[in-house]
Amino acid sequence: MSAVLSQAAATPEGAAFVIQTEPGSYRDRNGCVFYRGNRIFRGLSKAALENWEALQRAPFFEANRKSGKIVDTWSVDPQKEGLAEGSWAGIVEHARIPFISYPYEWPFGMLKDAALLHLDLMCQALACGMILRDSSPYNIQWNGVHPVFIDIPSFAPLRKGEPWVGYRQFCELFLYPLMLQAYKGADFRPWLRGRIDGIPAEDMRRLMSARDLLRPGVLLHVVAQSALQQRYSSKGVNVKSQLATAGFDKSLIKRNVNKLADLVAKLVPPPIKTEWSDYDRTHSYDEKEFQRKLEFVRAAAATRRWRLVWDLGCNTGTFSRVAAEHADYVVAMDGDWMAIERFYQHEKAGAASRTILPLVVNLADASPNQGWRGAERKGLAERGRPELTLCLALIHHIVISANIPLADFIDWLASLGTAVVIEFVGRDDEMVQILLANRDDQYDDYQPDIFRQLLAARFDIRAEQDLKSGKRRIYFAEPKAKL
Amino acid sequence: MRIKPLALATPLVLSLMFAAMSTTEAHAYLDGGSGSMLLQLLLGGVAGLAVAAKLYWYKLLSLFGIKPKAAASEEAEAERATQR
Repeated sequence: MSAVLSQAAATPEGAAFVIQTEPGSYRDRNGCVFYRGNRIFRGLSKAALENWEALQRAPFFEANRKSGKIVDTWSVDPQKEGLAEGSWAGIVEHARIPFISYPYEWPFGMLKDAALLHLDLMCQALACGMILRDSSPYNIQWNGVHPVFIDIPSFAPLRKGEPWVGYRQFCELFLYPLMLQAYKGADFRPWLRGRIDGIPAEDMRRLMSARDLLRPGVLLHVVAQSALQQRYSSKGVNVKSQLATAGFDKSLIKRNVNKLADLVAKLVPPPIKTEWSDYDRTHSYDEKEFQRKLEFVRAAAATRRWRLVWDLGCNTGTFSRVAAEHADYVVAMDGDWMAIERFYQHEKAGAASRTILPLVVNLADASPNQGWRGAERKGLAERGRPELTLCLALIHHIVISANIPLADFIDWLASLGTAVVIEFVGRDDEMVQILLANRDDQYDDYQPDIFRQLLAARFDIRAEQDLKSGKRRIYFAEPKAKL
Repeated sequence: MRIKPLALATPLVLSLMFAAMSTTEAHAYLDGGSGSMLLQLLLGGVAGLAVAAKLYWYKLLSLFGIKPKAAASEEAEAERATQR
């Protein structure tokens, strides 16, 4: 398949020169991503190299590269970098994305904005006689709340009479998931996580009720597409050259892309109120105690500069923003999609941070390794270990709601090698009482002294403080120094 | 909400248009799906329907063994283009 470039690392210094191919970069044989140390390279075939050169000449590329909508990419000289060219015609380097994420972790707004970016780039490419060869949200990553297109080889010159080959994929991976949430109120994330290629037209068609057929875009993009796909699925039809003969023109693609952009722009999630989306207003802290908690978190975060911070159970991001003052990058996660949606929209409209990434993650069932050989999409911890983790107003949900033993959770935190700011929510706190109200209390481990004991066994506690008159206790702890 | 009667009729019409066609390989790694590519004719609006009509007309002619000169040379060019 690809030229696997490997140089054995006999020494720790040599390890920086070890080349690792990206196991998820295999579908398009024209190129392959590989890493060396902290740098990301891509080998290009002769055809891909020609496309890359054409892309660099296209006016829209430079403008979008500067504005951050297309990932910064530049050609490298293999000799200078000490890279064996192997069978590649050329090599480019990409700017690094701080933390990789996948569409099954994005709230509605992020998938929608990714779709709009994709369509926008399609429009601009078409104007320069180019097109995007595929339409996958996995080609889009994020710098904070700013989407960035990363699949450079996807740009190719548009041949005369060629239709938009990526249209079907656009529907399966962008449009149908958005419609599923907008029209049916169903969370699209499990669908995308469960099927790496997205929702097929046939399945989408079956989900549509009579009422849905009247909704924008359904008759054409779902019903007609499903019908036509079924009609032509088993025929060895070369539709592409037939269309070219009949004079298929890029203006047809343009019209479709523009109408899709109008359609996607109007899609919004239904106004459901999830349990925690109102947290900012309804959390159980009074103002004074909230400020004390805030100050503790701020003081802990300020002890040093952190390369990567995780805010677990971040809700609408108040503490993520505090951590971001002292961090290169913050990944803010919560299992409540509406809270993350609010977080994203608020951040986008406000400071529009490039360093805070909101994601929908259920910690009890976080994204695993997936895809071909379980290496195409990576599990959460594989994508970057945090140096600081915030676990505020979280532990009672982990132990009581999710039934994860306290020792296990602390063990997991310790395995990440991260410092923690963690809040123990006592049994006389209103929130815990609500959780225990309808459950058998099997949580013998959920006691403040047991918690402190478990924490102190794996971490060095640097600071601790009572909150809410002793109902909660917050800790700042660092991993035990290795001997 | 505009219901498009055309959207219901056209899939039927299009499906009647295309009889057995030649088998050649697609040249992108991604399968665009024959049905999805044909749908783009309808999504192309009036201009798209014009192309669809032309497709149908060529198909009809080929059933009678007639290959219009213009169509023959265009097809040859398209074959060369896709083979590049």
